[in-house]
Amino acid sequence: MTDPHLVARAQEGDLPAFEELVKKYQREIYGLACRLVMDQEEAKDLTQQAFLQAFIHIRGFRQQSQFRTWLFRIAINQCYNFLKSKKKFGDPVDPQEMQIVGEDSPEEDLLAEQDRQRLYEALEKLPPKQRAVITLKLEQGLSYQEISQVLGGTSGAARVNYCQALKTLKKYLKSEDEHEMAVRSFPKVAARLPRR
Amino acid sequence: MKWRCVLFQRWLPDYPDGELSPFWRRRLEAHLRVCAGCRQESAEIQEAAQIYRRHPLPMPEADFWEAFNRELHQKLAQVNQAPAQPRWRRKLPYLVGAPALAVLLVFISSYLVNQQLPGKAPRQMAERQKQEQPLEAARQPVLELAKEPAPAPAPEMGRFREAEADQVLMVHQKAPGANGVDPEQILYVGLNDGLWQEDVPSWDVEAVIADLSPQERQTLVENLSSRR
Repeated sequence: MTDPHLVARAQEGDLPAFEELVKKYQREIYGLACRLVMDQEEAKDLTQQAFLQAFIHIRGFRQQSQFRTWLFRIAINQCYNFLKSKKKFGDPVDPQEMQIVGEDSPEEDLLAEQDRQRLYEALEKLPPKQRAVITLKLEQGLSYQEISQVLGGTSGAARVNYCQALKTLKKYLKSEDEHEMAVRSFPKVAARLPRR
Repeated sequence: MKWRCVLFQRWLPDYPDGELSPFWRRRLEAHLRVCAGCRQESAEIQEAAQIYRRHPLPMPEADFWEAFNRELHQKLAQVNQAPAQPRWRRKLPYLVGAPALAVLLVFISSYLVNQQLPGKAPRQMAERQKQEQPLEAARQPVLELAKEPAPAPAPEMGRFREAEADQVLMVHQKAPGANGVDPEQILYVGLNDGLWQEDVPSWDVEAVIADLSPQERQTLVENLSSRR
């Protein structure tokens, strides 16, 4: 059954139809929330909250955009509100707690682990909007037009945002690299210096 | 960095597999062939994107989603059972509040206008009183004259100034208390049709009191000031 059909049924108060939509998009929304708030438990709560809000306001959804982008927008607003209320980004997701797939040997595991750690630390430093645009583009595969529908503004603004976000991420990844190299070259000096 | 590099580096995140038009793709490729700095920048951006893609967020197990759906189902069922509030009820505060606010604003504005012009209102009232006095007086003699068995002596015609062709100012000069009319009772009489005219187009006090004796003038002034 297609999205518009399910949405139309959900708008008439059909709960099973809405739950079908939930099952379809829960992983994407959860992944987005996880990337934005960097906390699994909070991401779970925010995902539920986003679906709840979507169900409450689904009668106001006029199907002028895709249900998926509308849902992303609700989830991002929930995450922004959470971040605003917390005034901090929370602890980063601990990769050790999650299931790691696709690694073959212990050496590759270690390298991948270091890479992941570097990525999470760089992502943590990014502003929430840039994190959102990178997630929507690279992880969810949305076009600039769809990103502009989710985040507001024009598709050109979404492209500029994405470009800026990627450059910032590259800069932070590079700085993490340089820091690692400095620590390896002069371990005693680096231990005495503050990290940033 | 040259201005050309700045221009092309804005398109680097979309190269090679992004939403880049063929025109810009050709120009960018041509530029990358000759500019080492932009080539390096492009490689670093692609590497950052690759690192991100290489580490997707690991998804939780199936039991996590079961618990998630169970919790969400309870919340959704709770929301679904709650009676939906009718639309007019949601707008009730606005429907009641807007007229109340409008009335309040009108009241406050009228109050402020009266406060700001303290001398104007009494003057207006006095002018209105002046205009209404002859009209009130005009009604009294008509009633009194209707009650009298014998017609009262004809009042002398006073002088009139600037009167219209069909109107004459008539002043009763009899003393108050007698069968006649008080000095303050000044009438307009229509000469053409003989009917009482109630709508007074103009009024000149000086012209009226010119024909009065000093005692009558004094009485008129006292009456006017007492009413004011």
